Amino acid sequence: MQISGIDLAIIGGYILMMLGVGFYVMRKAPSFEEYLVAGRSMTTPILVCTLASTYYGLDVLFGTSEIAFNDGVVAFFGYSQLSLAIYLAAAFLLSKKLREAEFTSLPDILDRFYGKGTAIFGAGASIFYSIPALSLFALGRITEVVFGIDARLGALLLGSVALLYTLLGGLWAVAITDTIQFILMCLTLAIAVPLLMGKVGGFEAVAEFAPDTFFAPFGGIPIFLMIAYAATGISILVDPGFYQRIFAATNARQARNAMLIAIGIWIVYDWLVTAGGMMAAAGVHAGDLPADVHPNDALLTAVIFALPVGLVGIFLAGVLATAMSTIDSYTLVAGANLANDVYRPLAKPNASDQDLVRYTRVGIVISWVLGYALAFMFDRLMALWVFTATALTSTVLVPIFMGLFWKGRRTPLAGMMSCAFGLGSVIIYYVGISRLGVANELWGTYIWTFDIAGASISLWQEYGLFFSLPMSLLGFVVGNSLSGGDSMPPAEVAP
Amino acid sequence: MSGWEIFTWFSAIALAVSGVVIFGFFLRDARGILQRNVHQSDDDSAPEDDEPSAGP
Repeated sequence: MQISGIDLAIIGGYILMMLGVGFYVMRKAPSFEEYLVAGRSMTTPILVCTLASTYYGLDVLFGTSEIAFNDGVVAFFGYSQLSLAIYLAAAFLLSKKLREAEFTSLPDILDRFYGKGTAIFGAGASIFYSIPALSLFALGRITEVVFGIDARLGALLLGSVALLYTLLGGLWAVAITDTIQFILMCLTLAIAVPLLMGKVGGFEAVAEFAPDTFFAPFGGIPIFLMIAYAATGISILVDPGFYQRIFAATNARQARNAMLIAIGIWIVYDWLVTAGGMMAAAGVHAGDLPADVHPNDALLTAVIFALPVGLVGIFLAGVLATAMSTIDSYTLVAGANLANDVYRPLAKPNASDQDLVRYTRVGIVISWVLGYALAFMFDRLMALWVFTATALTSTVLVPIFMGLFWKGRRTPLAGMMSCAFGLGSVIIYYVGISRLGVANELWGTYIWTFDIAGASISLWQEYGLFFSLPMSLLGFVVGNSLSGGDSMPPAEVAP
Repeated sequence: MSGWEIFTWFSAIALAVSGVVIFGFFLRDARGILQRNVHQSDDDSAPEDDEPSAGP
C-alpha cells in the first residue's frame, strides 16, 4: 500500500505520544497497588476508554469485518451481539462483588476462597491466557500489509513500544494510552465507514450482487455454532484484564456504569465494522478494490481507499492502537500474576512493595517474550487463543462463581478439584476431537461426526465448554464431599 | 435511504459523539490525575506523615 509522508508523520507522532505517556507516568516510583490497579482511583470516563479499547482488538476489527465481507449482517446479529448479552450480565453480577472485596487479581480471589494451591492453579491459567501472542502476530501482519515491513520486525518494533510504556507506567500508563487509542478508534471508524458507504454506493450496491442471506440477521449459520461462538464471550466473566479494571475503579458504581457505557459503544462499533466489511465487498464487486483482496484485509484496504490523506494516518494509528491496547493490558496482567501470584507465594513471601513492582516488570518482559515467540511459531493462532480462553474459563469460572455466590461450604480441596477437573476435561476434549475428528479448512477447526440411533451428531472443538464446565462443577462437589471439616473461613464479599 | 444506512449513520454519529464526550470527561479527570502525580512527587521530599492527596 502507498502511504503518504503526512500519514507516516502522523503515525510517528502517535508512537512518540505513547512513549511520552509512559515516561510521564514513570516520574514517581509507584507502589505496587498504584502500579497494578492504579491506586483504585479510576473514574468512569477512563474506565470506559480502557475497557472499550482493551476488549476490541484486531480480532474484532478484522475478524468481524471478514465475516461481514463474506456473509453480511450475520456478523453483527449472529456473532457479536450474543456476546454482549454476557457482558451485560457481567456488569450487573460482578462489578459490586469484585470491587468491594478489594481483590488485587484473579488468583487473589481464589486464594481468599480456597487458599494458595487453587490460586497458583488460577495464576497459571491466567498467565497462559494473557500471553499476547495473537495481538503481536496481528501487529506484525498489519505492518507487513500496510508498510511492507517484515511481520517479525514490525511486531518487534511496535510491540516494543507497548512493552516500554507498560513497563514504565503500569496501569496508569496503560489506561491513559488506552484513552488516546479509544478516541482514535472511535473517530476514525465513525468518519471512514460513512465515507466508504458514499464511495461504493451504499447498501443498494451490496443488494445488487449479494444473496438474500447477506441481509438475514442470523444468515445460514448452524444454531449450535452460534451458541458456541457466543459462549466464547463467557470468558469475560473470568477475564483477568476485565477484573483488573473493576479492581481499579474508584467504587463499584463507577465500574458498573463504565461497563454499561462501554457496551453501548461496542454495539455501534460492531455495526460500523460490519457495515465496513459489507461496503468492502461492494467495492470489490464494483472494481474499486482489488478482486484478490483477502477478506481479512478487506476493511483496511477499503478504508484506505475511502479516506483522504491525513485521515489515513489517523486511521492507521487507530489500527495500531487497537492492537497495542490489547498487548499492554495483558502483558501487565501476566507480569503481575507471575510476580505476585506465583513467585511471591512460592519463593519470597516477604517481598516488599518495591520488590513486587520490580518482579512485575520482569514478569511483563517474560510474558511479552513468550508472546513474541509463540506469535510466529503456530499457524492457527486464533485456534490457540480460543483454546486458552476455553482453558481459563474451564479452570476458574466455577470456583470463582462458587466463591462469590455460593453461601454453603467451600473447601480448599473443592477449589483444587474444580480447577483440575475443568482444565483436565477441556484438554482431554480438545485432544480427543483432534484425534477422532477431521480438520475442516473452511471453519478452521476439528469436527468429529458420529451416528447415534440413526442420528448424525457433530462435535466441534469449540463445544469444549459445554463439557468442561459441568466437569468443573462436579470437581467442586466431589472435592467438598471428600474434605473433612477444613472449610475455608468466609471471605468478605458484598451481598 | 434504507434502514441499514440510517442505522449506519446513527452508529457513526453515536460513536463519534460519545468518543468526544467521554474524552472531554477524561480531560476533566486528567487534571486530578496530574495534580495527584505532582502531589506524589512533592511527597517524596516531604516528611513521612504528610497527608496523601485525594485520587482523581
